[in-house]
Amino acid sequence: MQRLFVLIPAAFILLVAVITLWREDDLPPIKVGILHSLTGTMAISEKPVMQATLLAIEQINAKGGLLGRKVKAIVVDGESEELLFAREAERLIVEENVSVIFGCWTSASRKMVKPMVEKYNHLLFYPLQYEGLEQSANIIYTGATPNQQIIPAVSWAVQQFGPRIYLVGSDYVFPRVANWLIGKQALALNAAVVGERYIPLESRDVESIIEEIQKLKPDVVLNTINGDSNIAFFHRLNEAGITAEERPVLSFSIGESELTKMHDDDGDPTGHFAAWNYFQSIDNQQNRNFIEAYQSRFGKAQPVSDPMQAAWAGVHLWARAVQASQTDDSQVIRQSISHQSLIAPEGIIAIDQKTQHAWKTVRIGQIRSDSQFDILWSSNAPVRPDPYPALVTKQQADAFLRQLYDGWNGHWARPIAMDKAAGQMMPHTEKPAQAGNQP
Amino acid sequence: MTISKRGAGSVTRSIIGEFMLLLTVIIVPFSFVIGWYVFSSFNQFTIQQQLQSLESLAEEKSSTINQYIDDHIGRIETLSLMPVTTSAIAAFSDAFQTGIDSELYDRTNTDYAEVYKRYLSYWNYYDLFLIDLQGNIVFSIKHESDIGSNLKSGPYGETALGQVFKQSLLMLQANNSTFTYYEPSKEVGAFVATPVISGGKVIGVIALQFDTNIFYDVINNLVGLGASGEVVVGQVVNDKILLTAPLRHDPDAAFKRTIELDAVNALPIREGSQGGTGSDIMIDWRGEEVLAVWQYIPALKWGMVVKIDTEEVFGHWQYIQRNLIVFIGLGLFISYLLIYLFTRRITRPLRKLTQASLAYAAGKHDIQIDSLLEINNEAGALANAFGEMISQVQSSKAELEQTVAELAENNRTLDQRVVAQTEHIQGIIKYSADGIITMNAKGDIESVNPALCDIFAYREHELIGQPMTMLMPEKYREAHQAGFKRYSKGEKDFHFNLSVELEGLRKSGELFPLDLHINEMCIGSETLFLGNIRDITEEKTKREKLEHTQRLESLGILAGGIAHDFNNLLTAILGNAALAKGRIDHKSPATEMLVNIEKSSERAAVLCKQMLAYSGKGHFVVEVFNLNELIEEMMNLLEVSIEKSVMLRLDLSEQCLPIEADVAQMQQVIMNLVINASEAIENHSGMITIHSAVVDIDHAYAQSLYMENELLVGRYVVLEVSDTGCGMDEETKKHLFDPFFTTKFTGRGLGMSAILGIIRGHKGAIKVYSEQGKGSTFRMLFPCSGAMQVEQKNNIKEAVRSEDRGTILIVDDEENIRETAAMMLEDIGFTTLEAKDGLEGMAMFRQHQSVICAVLLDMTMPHMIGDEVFHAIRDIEPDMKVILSSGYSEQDATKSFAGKGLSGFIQKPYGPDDLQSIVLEVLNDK
Repeated sequence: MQRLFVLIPAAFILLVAVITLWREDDLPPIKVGILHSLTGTMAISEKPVMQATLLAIEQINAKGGLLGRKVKAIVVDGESEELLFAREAERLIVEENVSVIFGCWTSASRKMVKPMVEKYNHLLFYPLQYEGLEQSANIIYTGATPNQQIIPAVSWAVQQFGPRIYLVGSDYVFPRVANWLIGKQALALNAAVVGERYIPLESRDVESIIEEIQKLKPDVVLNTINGDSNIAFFHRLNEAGITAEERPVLSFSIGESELTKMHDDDGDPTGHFAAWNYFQSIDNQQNRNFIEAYQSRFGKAQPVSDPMQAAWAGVHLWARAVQASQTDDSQVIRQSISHQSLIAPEGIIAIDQKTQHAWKTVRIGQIRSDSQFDILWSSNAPVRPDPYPALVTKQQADAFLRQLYDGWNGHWARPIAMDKAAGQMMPHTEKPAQAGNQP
Repeated sequence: MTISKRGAGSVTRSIIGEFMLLLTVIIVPFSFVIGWYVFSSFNQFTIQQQLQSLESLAEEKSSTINQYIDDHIGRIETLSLMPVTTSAIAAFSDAFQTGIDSELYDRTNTDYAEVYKRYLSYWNYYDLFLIDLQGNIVFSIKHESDIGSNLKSGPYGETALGQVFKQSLLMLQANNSTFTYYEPSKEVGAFVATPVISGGKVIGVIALQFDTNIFYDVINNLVGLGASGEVVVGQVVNDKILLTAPLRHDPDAAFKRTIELDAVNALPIREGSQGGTGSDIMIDWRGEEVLAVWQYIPALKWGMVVKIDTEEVFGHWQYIQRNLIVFIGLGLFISYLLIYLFTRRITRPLRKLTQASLAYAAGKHDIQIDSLLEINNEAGALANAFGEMISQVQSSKAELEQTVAELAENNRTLDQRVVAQTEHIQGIIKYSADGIITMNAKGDIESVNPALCDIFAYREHELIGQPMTMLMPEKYREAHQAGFKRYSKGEKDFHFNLSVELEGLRKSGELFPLDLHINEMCIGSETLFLGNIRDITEEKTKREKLEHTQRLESLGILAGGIAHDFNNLLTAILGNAALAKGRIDHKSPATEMLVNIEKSSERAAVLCKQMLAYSGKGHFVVEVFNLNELIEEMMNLLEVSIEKSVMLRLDLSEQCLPIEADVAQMQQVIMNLVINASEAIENHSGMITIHSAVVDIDHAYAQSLYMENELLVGRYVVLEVSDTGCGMDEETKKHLFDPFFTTKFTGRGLGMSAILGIIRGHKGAIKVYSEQGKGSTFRMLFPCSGAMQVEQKNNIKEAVRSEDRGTILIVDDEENIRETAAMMLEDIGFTTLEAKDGLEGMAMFRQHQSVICAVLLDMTMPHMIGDEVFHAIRDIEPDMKVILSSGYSEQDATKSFAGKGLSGFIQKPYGPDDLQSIVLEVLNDK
């Protein structure tokens, strides 16, 4: 009898413990997709972003996960192929049943994923600064819109260096749209675009551009070249003896990750400028924590950059939305996310209710020899995102994009085949404004 | 079967107690765990629910605020795109160049102010500004002090208006400021501005000023926030949080109340105003615990906290909690009560049963179980069974009691029988003449009976536990112990159940003969030896005496027989010698030889006489005489018979000592003893004392005398001959009276035997005291005679020869006796007839009856013995004189003729004189 008095409560406690533990383990994880190019030309840029995304997920799991569930990342390689991005996005949604997709770098890939998330009414967190002119209910943009990067930077550059602007970029949708907008801005600011040149992605043939810069002597060069082409560009610029003091280059796609590689590959851009929302050199506690966490996870010398920070912040914002709405349902999250904000390394990031873009702080930095930036200017407060700048109407923007898309035979970048067919490295000199005028 | 006291009486743990304990240990914790779980789950759920609803409220409010801002942005963008604005800016820019007090400006103002005033009143803005590219405020409706100032270089460049202006040009987009104190308006205000673009070129900026009041409605809408909830909005200004709207609990808070950034209770609003979002239970600015949801409103750089006091949220929950506790408590109480009542239903009958059992156990046997039988469950069944059991027990008990009584009676009887039996056996043991002793396996005495104690002259306690050997002479002990050892080793070569004659050792050290009968007995596991011991001292003495007597008797018979035959022979020898001497010339040389024959024959006759004396069959001539006189008469003869060195002393009783005895034999006795005494003294000097006395002897004394027949108790004459000689050793004493036993070289060993025979023949007794080297005493007792007449014996010697005195029939089987007797009788004138046996004698007597005057009849003959012949003769002629002749003593021979008129007796051997005198006497007697 006395043994019974001990056994029954003991069994009861054991039962309670077992049920509690079993329930903990029983809950399925929240699956999230990470869709980036881990191979191909974009791998160099996208892999660190993927890692930053993973870091955020790991940090969330370290704090117990969400809603009592672990977050499980399903990492998918887009292989720098925009079509594959579309396919993998669909697969993640349909087969893997992920709650959300974090991914994409290039606008080309985003524009391929966008129909998928819209088709399945799903959700994509996009971490890159981009050209704007887009707004999807199924995409949360944590990177900068033109008014959060390009436009203030252009205004700043014109004020700092003078009204003669030279535009150079890779031949795909972002540089094209950006420069189209810069052209509009230049007009509004009474500045002048003295030259506008494009090179295909991965191209190293920058000789003619250097020569043109030398010939035109613009007050400032606004650079929207993406990827390895920048190495060749700065290498040739330095070779040509064009200094930053003489002809400052303001870049919109060179971050800390690219700088390190450029320094290594003799494409030293020291003294030139870049516009971003985030620099690794930002001095606040959130940033120090972020850098330390990333580096302790992925390597001491690994640089962190704006897209990485935006991707990392995107995951945390998503997590807050899940917590606030007590569900991982992407439809609910889409509503809930618009009320979320985060004290991120770059400062406050808040999702704008109207546009689903992030309020972000604008910064301009000067490149140091240690592949870091000296921050020269900041907007001090988060700037309202405006995917459709006041300089153009939505109709104009859509028409311009349509023209690009059609011109590239249904692609969001200039196909290499077209270049070969054209038989030349074609510097497009046509005025985007003119193109924009065509319906 | 044992029933523990504890089980029966004191119940240490009752069933109710067990149930209560079970309830307390299991159900109470269970209830509390469940209660706690439910409560905390609901608590958590409530928090989540409340936070969710707060979240919704917050989202709604932030949406509303954002919508407001967006509306402003939209409006200002709309305004900026209106042609009136571009023309107004251009017009005012130009007019401004002439000064705001100029007529042109007035005219321009008149043209455009009304339009903007309509918008302003319609949209409820505070003010509207038009600013040219240089930063000049070229138009405002309110015309405050800022009009005409330059926002790039003027005093209000750093105001919110200045900032939105610069931002508009930099970003080329609409933007708004946060709320700050605006000096020209003397109040808090916020601005929204956008560049005015005309023909792709920026021509100026249009701005609107609005106050906070439009948000207060939103913020003060407390629907869903209960009685304590409120919305707090604030922004960071100079390291402090400035509250930007009135609070429910502080209506004057707007732009007046600040909260330090590092204040403990600033947490929700600090988080919110710095860009964070979240929800939790926190302490608010009042120090109250609240459920709070905080958000960041980027357009205004505001933090917003929507909160409600936990006290209110959980107020009803605390009520539920209290109720829950009450319900659980109540439930437990009811459970306790029900269990108590339920178990009491079970235990009450059990308790009654227990009481009934205890009462029954205590001896109250008339218990009532009927009340228990009404219970219709297991307890009832138990009660039923108990009742059944009780009745069974009662009947069994009655039977048992009867049986017990019977058994007790039986026991009593048995006890009595056992006691009787025991007493009987103890009595047997106690009063047994034989000693009974038990010895244990160690050889120690276990028990003895009184007879044994008497035999060994010990007391019982002196024997118990002592070794058995203490009762044994030294000579047996070793053998006893050796035998005991052998027995212990298991050698069973002992013959129990046999009687052995041994010697015992009395306490005094005296050895005595005993008869021992040992047996082995096993009582339980113990082996005991039982010894029956009989003191045979007396028995042995008697037996020895008897043996001696028997030996003497047989010797007597032998001696008597020999003497008889010798006498017959000597009769013939003596008779013939005497006859021959008478018939031959006395000068003949044969006479001397005949005399020698006669002398030798007479010596032989003396020997025969002694033998007959020993055998007690000598010819007694019994007369009464005084022994003292006889001794005195013999003094001379005795003195010459003894050695010269020996002195003979008389110590005679002065009393007359009449005895009835044969004088000659008494003389022989005295003579023999004196001579023996003399010889015992040998050549030394010594003394022989003859003592006489009269004693009265008792039975005990009679026992100690050396005679086969006990003396009769009475008066006896004592004759005692003692000497101071060498004495006798034991061996000599033992065989003293044996015939032919002698210590003398020349003796024939018949002297002492003859003395014993004589004494025995006189119904006397003899006792010998002798100690070696100290002399011997022979004490003899003779019956004292009642008659004191001492007859003088007349020895008549008639040697008369008469002629033809008659015929005498001689019947004897010995021919030479017949012839000798015939010659002797014929010498004195008788005619003789001779018959060789009884038959012939009877034939002759019948034939010669008329002439026969007497018959000489031998006692022992073939065919017809003497008494038969005697009776036959007496049958024919009763007065016939019959003289009996025999070699046996007169007593033996005449025994069977007692009272039958035997005329005379002549003992063989006899001479002519003896025969002639007895015949003449018989015939003359008639």
